[in-house]
Amino acid sequence: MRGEARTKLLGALALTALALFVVPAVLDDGTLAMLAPAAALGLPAVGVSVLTGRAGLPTLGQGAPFAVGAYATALLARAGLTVGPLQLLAAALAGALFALLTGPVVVRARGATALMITLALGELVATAAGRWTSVTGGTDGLAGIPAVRLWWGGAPLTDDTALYRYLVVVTALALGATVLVLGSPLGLLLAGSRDHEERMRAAGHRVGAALLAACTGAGALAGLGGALLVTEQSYVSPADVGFGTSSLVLLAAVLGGIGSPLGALAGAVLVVVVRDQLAARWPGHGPLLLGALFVAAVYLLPDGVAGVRLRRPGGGR
Amino acid sequence: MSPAPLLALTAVSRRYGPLTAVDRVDLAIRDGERHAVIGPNGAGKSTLLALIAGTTRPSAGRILLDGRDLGAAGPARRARAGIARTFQQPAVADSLTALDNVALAAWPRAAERGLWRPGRYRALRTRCLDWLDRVGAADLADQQAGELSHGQRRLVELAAALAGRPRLLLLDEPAAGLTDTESARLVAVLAELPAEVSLLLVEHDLAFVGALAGLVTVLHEGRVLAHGTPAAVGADPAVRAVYLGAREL
Repeated sequence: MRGEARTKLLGALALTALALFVVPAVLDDGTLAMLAPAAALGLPAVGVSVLTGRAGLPTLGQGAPFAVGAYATALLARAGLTVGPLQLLAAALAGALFALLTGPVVVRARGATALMITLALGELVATAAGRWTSVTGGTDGLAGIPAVRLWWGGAPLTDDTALYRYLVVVTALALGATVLVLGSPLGLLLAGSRDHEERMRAAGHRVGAALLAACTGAGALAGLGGALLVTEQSYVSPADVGFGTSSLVLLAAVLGGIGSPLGALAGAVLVVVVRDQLAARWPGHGPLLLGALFVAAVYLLPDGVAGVRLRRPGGGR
Repeated sequence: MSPAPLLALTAVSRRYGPLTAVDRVDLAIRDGERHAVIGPNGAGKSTLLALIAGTTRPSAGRILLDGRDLGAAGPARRARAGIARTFQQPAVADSLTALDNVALAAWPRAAERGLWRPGRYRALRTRCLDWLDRVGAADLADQQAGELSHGQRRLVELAAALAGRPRLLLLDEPAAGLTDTESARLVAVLAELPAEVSLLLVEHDLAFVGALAGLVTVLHEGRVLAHGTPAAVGADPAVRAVYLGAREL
């Protein structure tokens, strides 16, 4: 048990170091900048893998807390608050608060109903972002967002490699926190509720509260993703946070083998590469390529890209 | 005057439209009692169990635990108050190991609960091996519950229910679907239950009931038809009429 945890920790550190130092050495700045959106998409996808894979609550509305986090960050930055940790904290709290307030509606439902409710919430927030012109800039969005600083008095991160490393560190920390929570008794309870909710209630567990906690955590992750989006593209508009984003996030989580946080992140990288790289060679065919990717993934890798290697032998579902 | 019973049902009814599944049932379970509810199919046994467990609300009547009305408390609140149960289909979380199933069930009533304490959970988990051992399933501890046989799942479910240290254990047809060997093992495990745990058993298998229960209540069409020791109930002509052709008690 403890040995296994140590192996996992070492693996995570090695992977982070690889992403921090080896990848920037191999790839040029332009390619790094193209990978950056994967972090913004990846964190909400990690949230979906927790909510849908672990807790069994399907969601198509992670664009909503993502939007809340993104606009919170954009507004803070335009007000002159460019300190990274502060922006991240504010975005995570905003996303979590949104999920905490809307979560009670979601966790009362199951299955397709929950999916529809989250979809509606996501659309409401995207519409609000388009209409509430005085705060969000309406459909024009918020532009001219100053670059993020690592700390008070630090230099703005404008260099592609430095920005990339910032995204990697934030993503790794958020992923680590998620894995820790999933390994706790709360993580077990979420799996137990997905498998047999009535059993968990009969043992005395507050299943609704546990699901709400999962919603809130996923909201915080999506909020963080929103902050990274603003950091990476210095701009945000309703087009960044609508149904398209929610479905790409779900696609990334499915590609990752729904239920695996690291897989969801890998799925996000795949989605971004297909959307931005391959689609650039066949202009106008991006959605077609993503659709083909989805179909191929569902048929060829039912356990996702992470399922090929990361599942323990004989682990099953 | 005897002390107040652990569980008391007074005139409890449950109606589904025109159908009355449970009709003005009075029932009292004392501390440490081994009580069986029997009756033909559709007699209202499972509804009665659901009413006590809190998954169904009574249409009329009151259910008291320790003299306190359970009112609208749901299944989770009642479980924390000390009512544990098993289901007709053995209920386990398939993706978790047998041991995690037991430890997770023990958690809400364990001294060390608090969802943010993985270390404490590990300690509880180690102690829960003991519960698996008591039902004779210690060798299944690290197996995924989804891979177990029906009988093994029943044992793991029972260990999980016991690990919550209940005061009242509700068993819904525990012998259903078990082989004779498994059934005998279950009787042996239940006979070893700590004296302070009360048992309320809903069962079809009369041999199983005879081996365990000190008191039997017979339900028929939602009503209490007879109540007493297994021998007295077995000799009751009204019960014999209902069970015409059935096995002897």
